Order: sequence, then structure tokens, then C-alpha cells
Amino acid sequence: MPSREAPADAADADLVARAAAGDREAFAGLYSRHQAAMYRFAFQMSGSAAAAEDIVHDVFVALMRNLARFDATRPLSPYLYGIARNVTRRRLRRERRLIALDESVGYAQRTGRDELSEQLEQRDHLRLLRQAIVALSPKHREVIVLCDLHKLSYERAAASIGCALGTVRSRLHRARALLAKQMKRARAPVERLSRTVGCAV
Amino acid sequence: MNTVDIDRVLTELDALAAEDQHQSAPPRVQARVMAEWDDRIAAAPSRALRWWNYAGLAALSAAVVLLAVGIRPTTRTNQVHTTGTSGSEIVLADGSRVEMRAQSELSLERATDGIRIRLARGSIIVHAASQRGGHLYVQTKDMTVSVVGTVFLVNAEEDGSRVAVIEGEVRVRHGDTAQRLGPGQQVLTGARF
Repeated sequence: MPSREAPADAADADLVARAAAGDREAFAGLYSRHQAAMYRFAFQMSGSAAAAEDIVHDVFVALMRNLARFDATRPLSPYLYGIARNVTRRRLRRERRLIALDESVGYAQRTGRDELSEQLEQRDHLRLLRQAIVALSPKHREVIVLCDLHKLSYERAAASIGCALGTVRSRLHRARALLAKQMKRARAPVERLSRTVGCAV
Repeated sequence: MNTVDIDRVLTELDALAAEDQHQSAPPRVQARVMAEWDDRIAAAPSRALRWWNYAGLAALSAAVVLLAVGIRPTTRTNQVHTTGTSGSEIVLADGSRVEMRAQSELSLERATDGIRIRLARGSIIVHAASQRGGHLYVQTKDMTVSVVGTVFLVNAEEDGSRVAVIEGEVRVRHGDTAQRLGPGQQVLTGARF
């Protein structure tokens, strides 16, 4: 049975061939098809919207420079994730001491009764989860982002990272356990506060 | 870690993936990328340096030499810009290093008590040498940063600026407010940030 990625890969191969021949619209087509995934990957890995914008830019400029050398029979998506991973790692190494202050990854604060609705509690958990993902080591973070957030198959994740399939499986197992442990610790004060405020009310 | 905790985190990861699924890069990123295409591919497939690269290098050399020989302040400024995907590094006479990212533009000039870098657009990382009595300033259209000995990043865009400190301390003035930033802290202005 053909994979569900096959038609998308064929469309990419056509666009890559045309872009390599200098077709501007084809390159714009490649950008449109893949920019959102690259942006989400960069944002989820770095926790910074400003960094994510720069990373997307650098990924597509790298693609532009390597169009002629890219083997169009290979799927494009793992190749782009691979570039995004390298660009993100380089950038994070350089700015490793910066603290992301984006609203979306800010610390969860529970300050009033109005925030005790289930919906807001869920949002707090997601904010805590973002923080916990960014706090993982790069090798654990990337498997969580690729496999659990971007839903890549193990094969594609391995191709993106450049490692064996078994490595992806074992890293993912370990990363999920670490994340669950961090989340359990992070949720504890929030849930305790919920219970306390619930009692007071 | 028990399977209940892992199942719970997997459910939350699914919720996070759903929340993020409509996120995408703002249109200005596409504009930057396609401008790069026009610049690199369509206009000049040759990898040879074009005249403005030489002009940029000449301006850079002139700026470094001018500061290195300690020429007195004049009203003239020295403009440097980077194109394409590669950045540049400028070494000032006091030993400070300025890393320019691609697509950045700055000018160097003497201030009354030191050197002023005016960042018109793009990003720089400044490795400021210890200043002996003087100051090194970095100015964007809406912020001024003054430093003593530190490493920090400045990003200037049409709609705002960002200063992030990696080592040491900087003083940032934005309108009527001034504040000190330490390592790991940053200040953002404008809608983009």
C-alpha cells in the first residue's frame, strides 16, 4: 500500500526540479507547503517566536543554495527538518543563556478565582508543557517535537535527525518519561492551589 | 514513571499539537526569503562577488581603519551592510567585536565619549571590550544601549527592537525609561516582538 506521504513527496519533487531550474513560483510553492511546519518546529524547539522567524528564513535560504544538489527522489520534508534542526541547534548554542520571554511560553500564574475554569486550567497545563519541552535536552526535545507534535513516522524522524530507527524509539521512550516526570512536578503546585482555592470558595 | 503519567502527557501533547497546528511564519518571513531568491538566484546566478559586495567590504575596511588610527570625530559616518546569507565581523579599535548577521545595516560614528553604532536594520551581537573611561553605544530607532564590557545581541526591525544580554550588563534607554539588563534578560519593543 502506498504511504500517505507519497503524493506530497511527488508534488515536492516536481517543485524542487522546477525551482532548481530557476522557477520562482515553484520555490514560492515549496515555501508555502513547508513554512508552517518549519515555523512550528523552530518555535517548539526554541520557545521564541523571533528565533523561529529567523530559523525559517535560514532553512529556506539553505534549501535555495542546495537545490541543484538535492536528490529529488528523496522526500523533501525530512531534509528540511534536518536543516531546521541544525540551524536551531546552532542558534540555541549561541544564545543558550537567553531566556525566552514570549507570552506563549511564560510562566503560568494563577492569581484569581476567575482563572479556575477548566479551560484556563488546560491552557496553563499546555504552557507548562511548552516550558517542560524547551527544558529537555536537545536530543530528547527533538524526538518529542517530531514524533509527538508533528506526528512524523519513526522512519522520517530518524531520517531528519540522521540516526537509526532504534535510536529514535529509545530516545522517545526516555523523553516521554522525562517529560511526564517534569510535568508531574510542575503540575503539583497548580493543582494544590486549585484545591486550596476550591476549599476557600 | 507509571503509564498513567505518560498517558496523561501524551494526551496533553496531542492538545498542544492541535493548539499549534494553525501557527505559521508571518508574511514578512516569506518576503525576506523571496527577496533572497531574487537577489541570489534570479538576478545573479554567478557566485562571484558583485559590486555592492566590494563596496560593503571597502566601507567595512574604511570604518575599521578609521577607528583603528584614532581619527578625530567628524560629522561623517561609515556605513556597513551585509547582503545574502553570510554575516560579517567588525573589529573596533578598542578590541570590541561586532558580529553582523546577513541582511543587516549599521553605521559607525564617534560619540562625544566613545563610539556609537547605529543599527538601521538586522541583528548584531556585540562583544564589547572593557571601556577605559568611554562608552560604546548601540542605537536603534527607538532604543539606545550603552555598555561597559559585555556580550549582547541587538535586533532592529521596522516595527521594533530587541536587546538581549548574554554576558555582563547593559543600560537600555527607551523613550523616557532607562533600565539595566543582566545576563539572560532582554527588552523588546514594538508589535513584532
